[in-house]
Formats: sequence, structure tokens, C-alpha cells
Amino acid sequence: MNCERCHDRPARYLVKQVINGQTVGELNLCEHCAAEHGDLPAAPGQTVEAPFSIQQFLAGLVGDAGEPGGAAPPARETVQGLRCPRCGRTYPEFARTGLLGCSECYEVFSAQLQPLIRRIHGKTRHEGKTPVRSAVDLRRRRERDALRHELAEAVSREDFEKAAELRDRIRKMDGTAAATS
Amino acid sequence: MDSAMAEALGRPIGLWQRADAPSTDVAVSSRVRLARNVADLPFPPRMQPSDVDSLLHRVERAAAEIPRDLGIFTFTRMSELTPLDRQVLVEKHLISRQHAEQGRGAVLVRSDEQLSAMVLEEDHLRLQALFPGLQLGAAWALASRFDDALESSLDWAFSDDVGFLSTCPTNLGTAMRASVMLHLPGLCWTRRIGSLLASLGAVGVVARGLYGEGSTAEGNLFQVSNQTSLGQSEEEVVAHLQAVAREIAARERSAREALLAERREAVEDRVWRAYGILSSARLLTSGEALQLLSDLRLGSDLHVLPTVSADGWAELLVVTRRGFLQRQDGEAAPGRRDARRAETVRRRLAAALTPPVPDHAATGSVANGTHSDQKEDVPDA
Repeated sequence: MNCERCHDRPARYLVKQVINGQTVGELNLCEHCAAEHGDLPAAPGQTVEAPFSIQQFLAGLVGDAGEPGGAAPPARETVQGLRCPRCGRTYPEFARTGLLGCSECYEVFSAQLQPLIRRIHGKTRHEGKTPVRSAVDLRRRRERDALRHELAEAVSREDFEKAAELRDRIRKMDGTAAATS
Repeated sequence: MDSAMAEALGRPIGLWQRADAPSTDVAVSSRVRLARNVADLPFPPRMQPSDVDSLLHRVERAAAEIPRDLGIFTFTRMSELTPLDRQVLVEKHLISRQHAEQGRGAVLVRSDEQLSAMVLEEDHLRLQALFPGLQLGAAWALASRFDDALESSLDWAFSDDVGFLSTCPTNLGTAMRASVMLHLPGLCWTRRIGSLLASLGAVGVVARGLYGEGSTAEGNLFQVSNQTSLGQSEEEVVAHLQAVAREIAARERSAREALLAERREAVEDRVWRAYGILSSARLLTSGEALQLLSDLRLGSDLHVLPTVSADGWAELLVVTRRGFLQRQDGEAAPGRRDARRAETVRRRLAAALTPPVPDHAATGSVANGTHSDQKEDVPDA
């Protein structure tokens, strides 16, 4: 069997990823690839930090993200052809490195990422800190969306006085947003 | 290079490491690291040179706007640092080996080195707060303030669903890695370390060595950290890891007590030998120094040897590293390094110990100065 990373040299190491006592990933690697990713004991005298990279596991897990009983994965060609319009990251690049190219990639590859994220973390929803400023933007955006909705309703029932008031409030909000950003 | 960075490179430990702290007999230091990316730039793997310039300028500006009550920071581009300078920053745990090797981006360091950030490693920013001893709650609180201070001028990539967006999906969510550096000579000597490390996975904690992934950690030093970052708040993760570290510390202390009760002579012999070699040797390799410093610390914690201060010991760990030693030496030939290491340890050891070691004790244990393999005498776990 050849190394699952470089596909060139014979695989000599079986590297396992264990989360909460369960083996979630296995990769057969050659000596070179295993050493490069810090999975072998550091050579004597080598006293630098070798960060344990679990990217190689990701690479093995991506593309094998279909879950038992889950929906049939989309045709292979479709997935292979996925490309982030913002940063240009392609699906094969992500599958090879386990690294995303920008925040938009999370949307573009969302179908492939969801099961992967669940397998890595056991959870799919963030708990904890939210950024102060983005959270303010988020609140403002939600408030604005609510006002727009009200405006559309006011217009549809021909309550133009109310509509004008709502329009002014939205304009005022947009004005403050522009002034503070 | 800024003079503050030159100073940091010249001293073995930052001021934060001099403070008194809880549980320093087992916990060397606590760290909280946060990954952050700027929303409107591609992540490092897809950045163009213009994106890199933009990121560095923005972070430099953001750093200048950090409120003064959070301290004074120095922003240094990696291009201003020599490979040896970067190696020293790795040895001081201020940057990762990966960041040192790539040599791009920058490093942001507070004057006391307690807060720092790698700019353009795997993520745009990796912020960290370091505390001596076991103080993860304090480390999280300070890291979060640092995060807030930078966020007031930078927009983070964040999603309501999956939290802070990281280059690698393994860091998604809080994007936090909390870790404690533990000194576990008792558990190593009694061979209980293997089963302990194996059980950590079941509670969502991973262990690794001080540097690298060796199965036996050099200097009996282990880093334990949280395994996942999505679905639990920072406070929960930190409290859990703190509890796990406290439990490991309790087991380490009981292993040490058992060693002393059952094998006092062997323990005394081992730590006095360590003292003897460290205070007399003329050549020391870095691996040997690390092992002996671990023994020295054990002897001090068990009150067999005079007390070695936590900060004095932390200094010895760094001054015996290759990069720090070489940088202090300037152009000294690499062949001289083991001699310089031994000399440095001899010179600094006395200052790190209170009270000073009486002569007869020192000479007594140095008489047969070879460091024998005591592992033969290990009692079964």
C-alpha cells in the first residue's frame, strides 16, 4: 500500500486520530510524510516545538464525509468542481490540505463541512464569546430587517404615514452605520 | 529592531514568570490561545502579497490603539528577526516552530511578555496569554481583554452558527486552545504516566511533550490542552481543564510522596547526583540538562535539595536551549556549545538556590559523577 498523502512512497506508519476514546481517523503514511507532520518522535537534540497537525487526518476525512443513513452525497464531479468565488479555493485543495481559504469557503463547502465539523467536535453550534462589534452589527442588521418587514406591511395596507416614519428610521439607521464604520 | 524586542530576546524569561503563583510545584505555566481572522481578507493559505501588506498594516495600527491600561506592545516583522532570534522566541514559547520556520508575518509582544500574538501563522492572528502556575481562568480573562482591544479596530470573521472562523475547521467555534504545562517526574518515575495520559482522551483532553511529540516528554514536561473548540463556552472549557490539571497534580504529588516514603535513598541519590553534575560538569548536552533540571526541581519540591525558585528554574530551562545559548554567544563555534551550556548552568545554579548548598554535601554527591540509569530501580506502578 502506498502513502495516502503523497501516494508515492510505501506506507510504513499507521497514524490514528482518537477523540474521546474513539478512533475517528486512520491514515497510512510513509516515513517522510509522517515525519513532516510531526507524528514521529522528534529526532535526538531536536528541541523545537512540533505542533501536532491534525490536518492530515482532515484530509483523510474530507471526501469520506458521508454518514451512514445520511443523504446520498452529490456526484463526485460536482463536489470536485466546487470553487469558492471569493478566494478561489477549490474543493480538491481543501480536501488535500484540510485548510479553508476565507470565511466564504465555510458557506461554499458547507455541505461537505457539516458532517466533518460534527465528527471533529461532536457539536455543530457555537457556544461562548461573540465579538463585541460584529455582535453590534448583527443586532443592527436584525433590527433593520425587522423595520423593513414592517415597512413592506405598512405599504401593502397603504398606511403611508407609518411607511414614511419607518423609512425615515431605516435611513437614520443606515446613516449612523455609515458614520461609525 | 525595536529595543523592547532586543531586550526580550536577551533575557530568558518575561516579567510575568516572576510572579508568585498557585500550584507551581507541578504546574509550570498556564496558557490561553485564541485564533482570530480578519473578516474581509482571505485566510493565510490564499493571501496575495497585497493582502499580507494590508493585514500587517492593520494589525500594527490596531496594536498602537490598544488602551494603555492593557500595557505597551511591540510589533516586530519576522523579516526584522534573524533565524536565531526566531528560535529564541520559540524557546520562550512566544511563537510556534511553524511561525519561526515560515518567517513571514509578525509578532506582537507586551513588554512583560505575558500577552503576545503571532501575526500570519496558520490564522491571521493567534493571541496568547501566559500565567505562571495553574491559572487558566485568569489567562482566559486576560486573553479575552486582549481580543476585545484588538477587535475595537479589526473586524473578526465570525458566524452566529459556528463561531470564530479559522483556517482549519478543527479550531472553529471559540477558536481557543487552553493548556497547562505540567512537570510530572513522580508519575514518570513510577511509570503511571502512560495510563494517566491514555485516560485523558476520555475527558476531552490531549497531552503532548514540551517540544514535539516524543512518547517520553523531555524533562518530564507535558502540555495538556482541550481537544475541541466548538459547542462549549470558553468558561466551561477552562474550568474543565483546570479541574483535570488539578487532578493530575494531586496524583503527581501522591506519586512523589510514595517515592519518598518507599525509596528515599534512591530519590535522594538521584536528585543529589543531578545537583552534582549540574554544579560540576564541564560539558552538558541540551537533553541531559533538561533531564537533570527536572531532577533538580523534584529534589527542591521534595525538600531534599535546597529550594530552587520557580523563576530561577524557568530561567535555567531557557538558558540551556540551543538558540538562547548561541545568541548569547554571538559567533561561538557550535562545538563549544556543550561547554558553554555547562558553564552557564554552573554560574547560574547558585543564584537559583536558597539556602546555598554546603560544600560537604556538594562534594559528597559528585564523587562518582556518572549519571547511572536509575530506571532499573523503578518500583512497579
